[in-house]
Amino acid sequence: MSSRYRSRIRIITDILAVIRDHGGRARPTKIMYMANLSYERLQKYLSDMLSMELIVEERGGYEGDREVVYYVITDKGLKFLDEVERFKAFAEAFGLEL
Amino acid sequence: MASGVVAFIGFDVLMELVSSIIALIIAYYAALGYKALMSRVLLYLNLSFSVLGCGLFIDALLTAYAVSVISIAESEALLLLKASTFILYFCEVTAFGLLTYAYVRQRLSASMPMAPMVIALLRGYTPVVEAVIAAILLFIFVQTASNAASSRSKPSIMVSASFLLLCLSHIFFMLTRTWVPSYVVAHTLQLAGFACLLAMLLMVRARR
Repeated sequence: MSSRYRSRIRIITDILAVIRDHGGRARPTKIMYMANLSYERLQKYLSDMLSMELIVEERGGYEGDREVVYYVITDKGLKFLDEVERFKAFAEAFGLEL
Repeated sequence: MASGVVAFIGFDVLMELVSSIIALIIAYYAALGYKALMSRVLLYLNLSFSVLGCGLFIDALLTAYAVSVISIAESEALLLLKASTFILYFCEVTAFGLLTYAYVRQRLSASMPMAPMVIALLRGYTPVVEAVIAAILLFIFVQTASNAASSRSKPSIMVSASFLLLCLSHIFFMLTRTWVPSYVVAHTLQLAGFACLLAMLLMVRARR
């Protein structure tokens, strides 16, 4: 992955794309690796995205004594991805990145 | 008023109105994006084209009004023409300055020749301000051209072409005091520049 600066929208889009590409739900470790984020940054973004209702948290039983948590993309999250695609081309035409 | 003068003013006002409408359409599209994504880049595009569109619109309306009352209130009309040109300059410098800021921020991340001449002089195009605007537009053109060269996408090429045309139009506005037909050339180039932006918007929307 490129070491270029990623804007907040790019990171949110990357996280949403990871969840969408994994059948609509993904575990935090998967998102962390695929979106190339540190644990702390991921937690901050997930918290923001939960409050924006782009994703929801889903608890899926236990692995040993640890509760398994999944993040599920919402309809609002899917719409957000569509909107990013729509306006990405517009901004890129000006040589600007979202 | 002579028909040549009326035709010239009509051309001037019409070109500015069409340009302003295109600028406001671009601004509206950027506003939709900002509303959906809260992206600063789209906010800068929205503000830049809103200011530009409003400046062109106000200038066109004030010019039309001033010229229509010039025979009954000459001094007021002349003042109004100067004010409208000042408003347009202010809006253009602000709009293109905002766009430049967005780039910098991202990188750190003629039937009656005498009549047009009189109107052009009354409009008070100032070569120094035109040169400043042309320089800003040249900077934006270089940024967009480098993007177009690397992406080779049609919308990027259209945006790059539009800023080149807008830059050229201000060079021709700069020459208005010495060569009157340049006023018509400048307006035509400006409108062609905005038409390129409109074409880009249609291409981007058609891609979906």
